[in-house]
Amino acid sequence: MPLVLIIMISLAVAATAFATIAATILVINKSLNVRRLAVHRKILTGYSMRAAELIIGPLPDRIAGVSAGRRFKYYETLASPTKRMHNRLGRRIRELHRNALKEVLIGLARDLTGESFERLVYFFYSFGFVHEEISRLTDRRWWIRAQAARDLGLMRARRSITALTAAIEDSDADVQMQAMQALISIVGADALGAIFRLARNISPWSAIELSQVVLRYRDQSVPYLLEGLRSTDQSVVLFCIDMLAQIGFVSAVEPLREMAQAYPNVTIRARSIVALGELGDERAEGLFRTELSNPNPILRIAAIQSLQRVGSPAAVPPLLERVHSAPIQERILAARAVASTGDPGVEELKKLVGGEGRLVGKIAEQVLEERGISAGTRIR
Amino acid sequence: MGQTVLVAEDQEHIRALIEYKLRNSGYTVVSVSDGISALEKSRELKPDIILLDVMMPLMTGFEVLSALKEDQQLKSIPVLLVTAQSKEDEILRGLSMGADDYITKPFSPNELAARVKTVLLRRGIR
Repeated sequence: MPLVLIIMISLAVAATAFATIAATILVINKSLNVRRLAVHRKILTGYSMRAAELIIGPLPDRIAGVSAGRRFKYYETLASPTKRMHNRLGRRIRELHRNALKEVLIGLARDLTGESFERLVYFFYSFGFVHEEISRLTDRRWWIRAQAARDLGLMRARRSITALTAAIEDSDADVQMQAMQALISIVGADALGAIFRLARNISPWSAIELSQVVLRYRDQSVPYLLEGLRSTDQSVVLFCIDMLAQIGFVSAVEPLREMAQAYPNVTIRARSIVALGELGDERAEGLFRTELSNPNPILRIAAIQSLQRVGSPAAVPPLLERVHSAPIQERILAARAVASTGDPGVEELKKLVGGEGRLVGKIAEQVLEERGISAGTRIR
Repeated sequence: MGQTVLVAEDQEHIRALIEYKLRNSGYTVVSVSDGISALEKSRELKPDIILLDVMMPLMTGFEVLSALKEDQQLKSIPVLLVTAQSKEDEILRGLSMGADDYITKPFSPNELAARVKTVLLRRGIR
């Protein structure tokens, strides 16, 4: 037989053998996974029933209304049989059971209130789940840390406050966010103090999540937002400025005014000016007018935007000055701000249409048109 | 034998908990985990009351509710919606579609049992 043919046959046999072995391994692996899942499912179902008994088994009359300490003793008698059962299991199986119980209890934590929830929290401590999750906050894998933070929040584990506060400074943004959310679940708006003090480089995603929290607590969050203005992290300061503007709390005006005037960072100064405009407090109008002549265009534009929002007739002369002499984009913004003051501004813009400066006239005409006003008539 | 309650809830642990609570309160409980099964069981059993989770696979709670109200034989069965907290639009939608009451998650199992009892009493089913 020629050598080439022998080699070809050998290769074919080897390839077939390899494919058969690989397929067999895949099939075995798949069936093991299916079995593992089925076992997990079965254990979960068992613990769903057991958890129901633990959580809503009727409270004896002698226990209802007594001190928390006595209630906890009773809860412990409910948990003991499960603990004893766990202790009889081997290490691996025990882990499976404990994880299933934890999964079920955490699932219930989202949906329960009242005395049932008190029991649930007790069981999180009693079964050692809180302690376990606190240890997992120092795991080297970020996703384990993030999950631990999330679970501690769901467990409302007050004992984890210190560890979660430290996790706000975690190197991973997801862990930071989960830790913040967890702290808010546990202590409510009071967590915002630590969050704004410790948070660094708040990502846009975290900012969205946090803003929902702040808006939920609104006035309660104002003292913490004001405190956050003193953060050394720019992202925290900007976030606090934006939220103060959105909430519209009057005590925010003075600190924002100070920041708009003297903060060393231009972006923050500009954002403070815009926020003051959104707050619409007349005490800030003088500041806006002064900033119209600031050499920095970012601050001038912020001032124009704020004057447009406030719409005060007193701002018409300095704004008209900008319409005549500023760079083109700024002129248009200034003309819009003039128009926003109502009749006095509209009349001034009409005077500019067909006046000496062709460019100024065109800008005035465009802005009037935007507002549905023709240069010759009043409102159409 | 007590009244029959059909519980339609896709989360197993919550379903088990509701079942346990209602059984302890003296009801006969039948539970399903999706909307289609809820409708099928309603036709088969004609329960005294249906507890319907709004967010369910295959058919949402609203779709089941709508189908129940269109069915001459089932439309008189009282329905208690289980909905997520703060979803006012969901609550209003459910009530306008004919739900008798609602309970929001997170809920107290004791309150849930009380509401079931109240709805049944209101409907004169004792």
